[in-house]
Amino acid sequence: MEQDEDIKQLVVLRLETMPANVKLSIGSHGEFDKDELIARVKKGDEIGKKIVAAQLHYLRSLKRGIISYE
Amino acid sequence: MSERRFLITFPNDDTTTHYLFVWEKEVLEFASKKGIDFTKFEGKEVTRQNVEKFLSKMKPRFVVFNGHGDERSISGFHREKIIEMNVNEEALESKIVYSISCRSACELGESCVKKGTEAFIGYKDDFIFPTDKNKSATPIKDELSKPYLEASNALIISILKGNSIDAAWKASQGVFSKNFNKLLTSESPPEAESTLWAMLWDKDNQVYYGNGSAVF
Repeated sequence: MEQDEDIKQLVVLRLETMPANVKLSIGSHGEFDKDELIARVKKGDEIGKKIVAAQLHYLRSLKRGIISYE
Repeated sequence: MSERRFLITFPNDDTTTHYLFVWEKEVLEFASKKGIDFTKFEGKEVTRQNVEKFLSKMKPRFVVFNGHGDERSISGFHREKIIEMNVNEEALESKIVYSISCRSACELGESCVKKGTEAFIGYKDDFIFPTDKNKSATPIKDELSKPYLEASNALIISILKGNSIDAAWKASQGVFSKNFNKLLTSESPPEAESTLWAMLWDKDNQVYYGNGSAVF
C-alpha cells in the first residue's frame, strides 16, 4: 500500500515536468493536460492507473537497458 | 478473392481522430502517386452499414481503421461500433487489417484472425500521443505528435509498397526507435522528453496476429 503511494508520488513528480502547453491524447478517453493527469494519478482511476503503468514500463525498460541512447 | 485496393476510415469527430485524419494524408498522397486504388470513408460516412457493404461488395485486400475502440470492438463516427467481436468479424475475412483503434488488438485482433482475417495489426492498449495546445488548429505543424504518427504511417506505407506484414511491423518499430532516440537529443523540442514514456508504450503495444508473410 505504502509502495503504491510512493509510486504514485514518483509518477506525479515526473508529470510535473510536463510543460503547460502539452496535452496527452489517450485513446478514446480524450485529451488531458498536466494538471488533469496529476489529478487522475492521485485519484487512482482508470486513466491514472494507465499513466502509472506506462511510466513504470518506461522506467523498468530504462533499468533493463532496453532503451538505446545512441 | 480480395482485390488490390484498400479502405481507410476517418471518423474525424474529435481532436484525436482529427490528428489521425490530418497526418494520414501523407499515406493517401503516397497511394495516389503509386496509382493504388483506395476508398476513404470520412465523418458520418463511417457507419457499420457503409463499412460492411463496402467490404462485402468491393472486397478490399487491406483495411485501415482510424478511430476509437476497445478490447472487443472498433468504432466509427460518433462511436458506432462498426466491427464487433462475435458479431461481424467475418466481414474481415482474408483481409489485412491495421486498426489504430485503441486496445482492439487485445481480444478482437486475435479473434478476427481465428475467424479468417489474414493479418491484424493493432495496439494492445491505448495509443497515447502528445499534442501541443498551441497547434491543435494546425495538427500538421505539431512537432510533438509527429514522431508518433510518423511511426504509424510508416506501417501503412510499407504495406502499400508490397512488403510483408512482418516487414511492415518491423519498419514501424524501427521508426518508433529512431524517433525515440532522436527525441533524447538536445535538438528535440524540450517538451518532447517529458512524454517520451508514451512512445515506448505505443511501440511495445503495437502487435500483429496472423500471417506475417501476407502482402497487400
